[in-house]
Amino acid sequence: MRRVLWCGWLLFLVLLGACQGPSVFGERAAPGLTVAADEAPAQSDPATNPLAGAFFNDASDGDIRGRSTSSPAGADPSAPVRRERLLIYRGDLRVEVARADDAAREFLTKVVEWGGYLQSQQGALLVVRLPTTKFDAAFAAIRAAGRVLSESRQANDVTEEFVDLGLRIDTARKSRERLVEVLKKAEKVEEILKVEAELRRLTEEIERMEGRQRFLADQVALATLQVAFQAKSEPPPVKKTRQWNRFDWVNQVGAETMMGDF
Amino acid sequence: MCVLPFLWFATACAAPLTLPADFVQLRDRGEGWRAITSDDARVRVRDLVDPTEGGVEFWAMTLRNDLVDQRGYEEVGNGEVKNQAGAVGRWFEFVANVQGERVSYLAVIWVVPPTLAWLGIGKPSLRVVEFAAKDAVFRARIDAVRAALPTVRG
Repeated sequence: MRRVLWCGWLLFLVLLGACQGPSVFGERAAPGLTVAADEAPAQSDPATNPLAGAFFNDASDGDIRGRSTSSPAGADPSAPVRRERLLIYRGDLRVEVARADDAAREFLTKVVEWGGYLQSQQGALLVVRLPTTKFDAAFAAIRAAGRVLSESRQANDVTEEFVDLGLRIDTARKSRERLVEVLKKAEKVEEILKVEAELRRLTEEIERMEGRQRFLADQVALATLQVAFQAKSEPPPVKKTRQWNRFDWVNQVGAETMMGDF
Repeated sequence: MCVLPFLWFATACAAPLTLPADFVQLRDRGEGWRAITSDDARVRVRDLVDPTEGGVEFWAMTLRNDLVDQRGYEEVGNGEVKNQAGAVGRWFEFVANVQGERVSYLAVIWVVPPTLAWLGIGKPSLRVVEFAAKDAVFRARIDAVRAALPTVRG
């Protein structure tokens, strides 16, 4: 009888354990995911990656985290990841205007108003850098200035390279930290020299990658636009038939009367 | 009271705007006030009758449309400018083909109230300033002419 009771208790405990099992695992699993999610922001932490936050919005910041960790629990892996693209815009325009120098000067004034700057100028051929948000406005302004002879624009996606650089910089920094620890414990001169050489190499590598990342960030933030203003070589065409204006004074003024018998 | 006619005469004879010294005033032929430079830059100021009493915007666009649509001028720019009295006028700058030559042309319009407006006599007129020259001369002189526009009498 005691044996039967003992078996019954054992069976009850096993069943109880089995029923609580999933929730126990659930409680264990949750902190694990939280840790994973908490670890990830280090990728875009301004302290370790000062450029990351500046060129992705909040949503895309999450995308970086998403890229550096596995998909969040409950997320549909087939769902497309919303990602803010990092695009380098370049444009090239050739436009015919009445006065090339004046048109170039006016366009440059607008570029400065938009927060851009002149990169180079050769006569009425300008290369300007302007905020990417003003790229379309710049094209519209140039089109309004005269007759467009040619026009091209490109967008180069550097999202992958930018994110990869961030990850590689993080990894290199961690390696460098470990090497510093090794250096502190090293006792032999030969070991110290080796570690120091590796530290120098790593530091140079990090600086090179950070430089490349800054360059990309600059290229993304400011579009590059080359504009050639070309003056018309011949005077504007003369209208063969002219309708007399109903307001007589209008017929009395004009370049013809000014340049005639004055 | 006797001084008034002299004041009126003095005002009527005075230049309607202050141009740089190298503009020389031409003899009055009844075609408005005219001045010219040695390199043939020409300025004329006229008061023209406004038969329908339109506003400055109406007249400015009437002139602009006639020059561009009817005569084939190319508009280079436009804007607003105040005269000495603070009245807002409109200016247009064009490039035109005059007898096969490339000529630049500036036209500025103000609507001027009648002299005896306080008596309810007269109609408003249009004060039109024109500046024309061959393209290169025009470009060398345009800044000086623009600087003179705020001195145009109201």
